[in-house]
Amino acid sequence: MRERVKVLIAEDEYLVALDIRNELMRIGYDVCIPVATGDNVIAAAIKEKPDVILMDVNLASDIDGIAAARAIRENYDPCIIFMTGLDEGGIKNVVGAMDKSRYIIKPVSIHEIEDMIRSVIGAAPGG
Amino acid sequence: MMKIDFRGSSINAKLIVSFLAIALIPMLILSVIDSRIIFGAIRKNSLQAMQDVASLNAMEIEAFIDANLNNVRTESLIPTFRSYLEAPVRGGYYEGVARDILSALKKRDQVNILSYSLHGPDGRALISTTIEETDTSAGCSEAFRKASAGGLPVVSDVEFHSTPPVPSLFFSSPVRSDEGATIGYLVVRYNAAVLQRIIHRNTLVSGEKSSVMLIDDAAIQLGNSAWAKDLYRPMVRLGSERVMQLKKIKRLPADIRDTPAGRYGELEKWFAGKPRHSSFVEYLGIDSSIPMQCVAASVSIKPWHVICFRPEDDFLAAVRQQRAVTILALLFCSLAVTGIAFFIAKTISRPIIRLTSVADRIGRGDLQEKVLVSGADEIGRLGVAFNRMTENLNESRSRLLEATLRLHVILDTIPDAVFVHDVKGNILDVNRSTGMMYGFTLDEMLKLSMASLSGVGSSMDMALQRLANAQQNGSDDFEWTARKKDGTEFPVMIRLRSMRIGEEDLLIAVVTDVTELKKSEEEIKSSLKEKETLLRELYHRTKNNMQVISSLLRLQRSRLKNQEASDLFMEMENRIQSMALVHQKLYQSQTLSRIDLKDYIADLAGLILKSYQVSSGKVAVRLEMVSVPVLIDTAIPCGLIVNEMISNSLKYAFPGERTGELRIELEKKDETITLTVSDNGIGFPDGLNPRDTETLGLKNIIGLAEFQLGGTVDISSRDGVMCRIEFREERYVQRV
Repeated sequence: MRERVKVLIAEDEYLVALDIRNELMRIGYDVCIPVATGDNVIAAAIKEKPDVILMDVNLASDIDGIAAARAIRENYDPCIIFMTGLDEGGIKNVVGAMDKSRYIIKPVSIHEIEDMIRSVIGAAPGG
Repeated sequence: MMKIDFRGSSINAKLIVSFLAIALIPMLILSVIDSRIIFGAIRKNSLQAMQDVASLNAMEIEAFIDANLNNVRTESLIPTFRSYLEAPVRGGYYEGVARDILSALKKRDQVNILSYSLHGPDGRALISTTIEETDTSAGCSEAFRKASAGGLPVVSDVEFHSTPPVPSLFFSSPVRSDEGATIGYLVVRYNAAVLQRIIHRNTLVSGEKSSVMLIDDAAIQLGNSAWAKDLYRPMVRLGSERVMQLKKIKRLPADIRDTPAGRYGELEKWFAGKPRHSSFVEYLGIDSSIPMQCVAASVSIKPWHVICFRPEDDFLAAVRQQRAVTILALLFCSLAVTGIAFFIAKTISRPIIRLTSVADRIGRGDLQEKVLVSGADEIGRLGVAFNRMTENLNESRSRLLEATLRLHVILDTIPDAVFVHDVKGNILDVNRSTGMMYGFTLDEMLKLSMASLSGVGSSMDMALQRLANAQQNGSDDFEWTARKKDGTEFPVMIRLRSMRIGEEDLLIAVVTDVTELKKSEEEIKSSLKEKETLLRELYHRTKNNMQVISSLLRLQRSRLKNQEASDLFMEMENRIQSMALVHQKLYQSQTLSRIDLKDYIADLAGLILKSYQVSSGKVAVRLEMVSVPVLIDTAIPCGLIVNEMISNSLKYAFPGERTGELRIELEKKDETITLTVSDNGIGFPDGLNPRDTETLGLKNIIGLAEFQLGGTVDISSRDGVMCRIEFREERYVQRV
């Protein structure tokens, strides 16, 4: 039996991170404790090896979401979904070079996130 | 001393003078030293010779006198003379014999002896070889008597008698009887000229021009080898009385007059000193014009002196001649050296002169000039070096020209105006852009003053002040108002730099037209203003929107019957209010990016108290806060945290009628911000660990503080609840 899909949320807005986590857990995903900084994202990703990382581009740290994603990709190859408030053209430029990357424009609804995860993993949260 | 200035003379003259100096000075010194030494030696030598001559003459005279005295003494012993003198009658046998003997004796020296005679004891001549003198020689007999008192033979002074009229010298010796008594005298009369002959004979020894004199105690010249006419004249002036006296005793001839004074100069002084002994003098000048050496020697038997003269010309002539020859040789040498020097100087200087003329032309700027070099000597090498120098100069000059040209192109290409000023502000040079910037031609520019290029409010004094400033500090940068030819004023930025070129202090002014810069600066300023307005507007609208949300909630709440739901709604309202307040503070703030946490929390506390409808009598709020400006990213979680903490206290700490105090403290130490909210209420229920609680409020405080601010949370309950968060505002960077 496949394990449940594991999700890591990297978002520096505490209440937003809390909200997304609550919703995803309710749906049935295995959600790690959210992280707010680039350093913590990289550390948590290497430790937990989540299948999906919801990555805020503007993290409250020196290392932004894109740099963190690159660092993680050097270790293993999870599905990274960027969340950003920037306009569409900007994010394409930023993420375009990276394979298997998706993005959602803020503000995000939980349904959007769920659809995106589903389309990337190709399976329900329970496997 | 003649002063010769060689600085202006040519190299030829210098060389020739140097050669002459080197060649002739030693010769001159040598010849001078030489002749001085030789003169000294010859003088000494000659003096020695003169002394010898004088002594010789004196000795000869002595020998003559001595011999004759001996003769006459011996002859006076002839018995016939005694017999004749003792005979009672004159004219007897003995007289004839005595007369014959006298004649025989006279034959001893026919030339010089004038007569032999026998005198009676009274001095009267009895018989004589010369008949006529028999009665006339009484005078001299008188002298003999006196002189022969001691019985010895004597010699007289030179005396002058009439028979015969020749100067005579008498030798006499007494004729004695067997008993020893003087019974008469034998007298030999000499011609005094014999002395002159002795003197003359010995003169030749001391040189042709020398002369010898024999003088007696009255300075009467008994011999004079040079001037025979001076014979028997006194050598010095005697005075007429003395001359008369001497004439009377027949020591001077009757026709002689006194000698004029001063004829023999130094010698007369010597004689006046009554010389007793032989002494030698050297003196200069008989006629006080001819330098002479003079030496005297005394004769021992008579108080006579032999004096020798010798003119210096005589013995120095040879040396003088030698010196003349030397001088001639020197002259010849000078001529020869001059000739040689001239030749050498020409040889040395010709290439130098040629080099000089070429250097002259090069100095005037003709760098194409070449020196025709010949010879491997220093001058030849100098020529080679000269040519190399010219080539280098040529190359340097062309490089310099090239660099100057390049610099000119650069200067004319840059859009800035470049002025070269002197310290008085005169315009010495400008680049091409200057003309374009100011609208003048370049020639016009150079005649203008700084004042005519400056706008209203920029005076000449101010400009000079700037120049002085730049000269003192090396540079001065400032803004200025410039004026074009047509009077238009425009803003410029001027960079002044002082520099020293040679002895001249120059100031370089680079003038940049900042009209466009000013314009775009204005544009940027207005654009920034626009953005600020927009941002303020945005914050304002955000705040309004939140206010609308809050209002919607409040409207909804008023319909609610359920108290718990109503409370939840109110809490939500407060949370939204706290965020709205941040935006309000932002658009009210100066910077649009930071708000003062102190003001914000104070306002927020007031709002929350009002919403819970807590009177100041029930809960007293104490604020102890310092001003801490923070970014919006920090302010919002802080606001939410404060909101939760105050709400918790108001909800739970003071149930019923309980009153108390709410304390809010804010401090910043180093970069750490500490926010403490505490009350003196009832505290947590026993056993409650705030970290385990599921209350959204507490959970939010911890989450926001730890997760979002990266800080620490300390919640404790002792005499009420104390909640403290510590964080450093380092996660967020300013975004707006």
